Amino acid sequence: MLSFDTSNILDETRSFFYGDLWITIIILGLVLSFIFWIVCIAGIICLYYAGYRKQRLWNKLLPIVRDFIHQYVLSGYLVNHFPVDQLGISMKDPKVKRTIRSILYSYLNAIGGDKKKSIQNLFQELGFDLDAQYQIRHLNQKNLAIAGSLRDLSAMEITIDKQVIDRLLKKKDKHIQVAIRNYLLQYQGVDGFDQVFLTLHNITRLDAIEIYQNISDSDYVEGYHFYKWLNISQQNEVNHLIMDLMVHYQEYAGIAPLIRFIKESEDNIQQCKAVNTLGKLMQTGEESFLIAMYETASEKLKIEIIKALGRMARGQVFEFFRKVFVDEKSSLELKKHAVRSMLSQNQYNKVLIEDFTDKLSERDYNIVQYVRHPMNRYV
Amino acid sequence: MEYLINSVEFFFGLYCIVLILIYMLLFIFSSISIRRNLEDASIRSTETLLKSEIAPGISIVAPAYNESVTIVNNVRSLLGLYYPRYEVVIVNDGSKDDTLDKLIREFDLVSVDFEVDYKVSCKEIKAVYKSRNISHKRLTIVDKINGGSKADAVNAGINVANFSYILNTDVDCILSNNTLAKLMEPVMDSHQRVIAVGATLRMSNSSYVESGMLIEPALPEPILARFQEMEYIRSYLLGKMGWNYVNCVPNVSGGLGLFDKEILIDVGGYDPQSLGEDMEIVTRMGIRMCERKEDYLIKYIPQTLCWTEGPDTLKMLMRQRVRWSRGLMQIIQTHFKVFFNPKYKKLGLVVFPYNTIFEFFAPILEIVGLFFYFFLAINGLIKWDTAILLFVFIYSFSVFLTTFSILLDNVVFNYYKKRRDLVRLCLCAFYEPFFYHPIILFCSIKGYMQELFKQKHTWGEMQRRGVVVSSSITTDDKK
Repeated sequence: MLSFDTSNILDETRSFFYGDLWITIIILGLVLSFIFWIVCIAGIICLYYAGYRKQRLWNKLLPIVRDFIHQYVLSGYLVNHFPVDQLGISMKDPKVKRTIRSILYSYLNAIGGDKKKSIQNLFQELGFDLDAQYQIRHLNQKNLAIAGSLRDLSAMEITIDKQVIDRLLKKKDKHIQVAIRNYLLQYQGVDGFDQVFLTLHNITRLDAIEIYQNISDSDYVEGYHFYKWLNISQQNEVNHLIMDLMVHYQEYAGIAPLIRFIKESEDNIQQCKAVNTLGKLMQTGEESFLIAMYETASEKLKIEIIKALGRMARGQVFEFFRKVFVDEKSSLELKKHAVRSMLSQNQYNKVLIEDFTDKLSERDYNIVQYVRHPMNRYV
Repeated sequence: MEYLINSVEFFFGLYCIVLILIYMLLFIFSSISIRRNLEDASIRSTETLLKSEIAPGISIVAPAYNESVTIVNNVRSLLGLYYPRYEVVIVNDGSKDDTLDKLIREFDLVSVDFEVDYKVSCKEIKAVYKSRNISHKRLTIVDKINGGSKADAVNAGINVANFSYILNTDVDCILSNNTLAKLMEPVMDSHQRVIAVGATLRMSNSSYVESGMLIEPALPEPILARFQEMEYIRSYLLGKMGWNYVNCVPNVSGGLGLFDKEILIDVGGYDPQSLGEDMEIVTRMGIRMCERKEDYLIKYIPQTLCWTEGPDTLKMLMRQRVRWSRGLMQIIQTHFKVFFNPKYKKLGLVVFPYNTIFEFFAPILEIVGLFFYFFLAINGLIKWDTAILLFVFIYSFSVFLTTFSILLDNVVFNYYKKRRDLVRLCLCAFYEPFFYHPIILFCSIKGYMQELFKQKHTWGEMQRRGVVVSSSITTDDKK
């Protein structure tokens, strides 16, 4: 059993506070605080002047590069072999390089078509492609530098050796993963889809949004089967991404696998998303399948089923919506969605809906009026 | 007697050493946290979320009580944010002035049929207004009976909100254009559930604002507001970013916070009785997540996304700080079961004990310490050379920490274009301990006393002076 001699501890403490060691510690702390304070002040001054010099350099280089681009790229007929030596800028200074790259990026993001291609060529003629290729090929480079170089190569639309891509795809670093995926989707387009989907593990929702955005922004129109990557055992984020892409490209061929997915999945979140996707694909014929699911579904899934039926049905499920609405057990949320879906069938069930609304209680009538109001956008 | 003096000395010595060690850890953690954030930002563009049609929707909930002076510009500012899916829910909390009339007139509002599901309790909602102008289609105005607190108004907003994330802000706050995307990024870029996100706030007192948009930030001219700016920078960049690294963020500011609506509703919304409702809700959400046995994160980002008009008179500042300290005391009392309770993981073992021992007790110990010092001095028990050395060390450490926060702020972004502003901010660190800190200390003790004796709290009215705006817009409205 532990026993403490309190008075002994206090005596020792007092002797410590009155001893030389305590004084030494305080003086050391004081000196360190002062040194760190000097470092902080120096840091603030350096950052302030770095910002100031960066802005000055930008102001100096922008007119030169802008005039050059206007003369030779935008107004001229040249698409490559630009007289870059006429710029009169030494590209040896990394700060100058960074600034010129930023200026070129601002044009690249604003211009499309042939002129964009010309800007990409100008990028290369200024030697940015060689720098970027060097960075990605050398293992001792920092991950952030490699990621930045991949972004440059993607912007310049330069082919990277397959072996290098394979090697980079195996890297665990988040920044490289993001950059290589963006490269494959932005530059290789549909040819890079398989490679990207094969390596999708442990992604976040932001990764999924980025991939979706890259694909929907690309030139790809149709022909690729995203549904083939649906798999109940993989991460929700990946399945959700695939379903979003199926909706975006209205992939009707994926309806059968999607229904199989709904039947096999035991995850409520996955089921909700899949039912939502089914509804957005607006394919009729699956109404009875969804109605059969309703009774045993969770509240969230019930809402998704009602929403999906509202999108896909052609008037034949009016009675189902009516039952959900008048059911005393239905939550306000369910009732709202039931009415919303019912009203979306107005062209098929106009008389039935009018008859139904005439016989409602005051509260139910208010709900219908609320949903019906054109200014209430989201229900 | 000597034994007692030794014990007290031992206690104070230990307390200070632990506190200094915590600050040193925060110094390291915040540096790493900010570095990571900047690295992530360098490779990802906010554009992705801004353009995305599948980005999650956000409902901005902003309560307004007698905000007639600034309401129109502030709502315009909120409607001008960049994000693909969001709505603005302004809750008129029974204003006695013409806040609602101004909104109706300016935004062409009409009362619409509504059916509210009171998922969290609040006073009765009298009417819901929408704009006939399609360009204001995102706007919803909720007119309710005054509930006597901001919490009640926010709860009403939550009941009306349609999206699954709630951005709680004050209607007088000026938000950066990309606030919604910036706050949503940590939520989307995480494998664990993020229940709340906050960002840095600053003072808008002397900034240049046009049509509710911040054109040029500037250091506040009123000295009290300037002290607060410095305090905010230190608190957010050193404190919250440091705690963010170990997922121990204690609270998300009431001025700007993004919340997961499902959890917000699960805990019953904001507590209208609480005087520190922002910290209270975060504590309750954390407790709920622990009880649900779900992992969660509360994130902070270093970028300044919100500018708010800080109190620039001593009376207003004191009223605000007294309320904050009463709020802290209420939270400690209400949720004391969390204190060193392993069931609540980091919340119970780090966040709550830190708040109790080093936030709540600090002002009390400071006062007790001062009396103890006088007692020792009177009795000739002080070794003056050591005492003065110790004082100089504590002072220099405090100045260093504040200057370090300003450095971190500059690493994130150079907000002050004028060199003069930066110099004046750095100088604040030197005289803050002598002028500003005693005021805060006094307010804390006053707040504790008021809470202890259950004195009734009145919210009072924040006098809006209006920030530096373009003359054509709100000159007439300025008080």
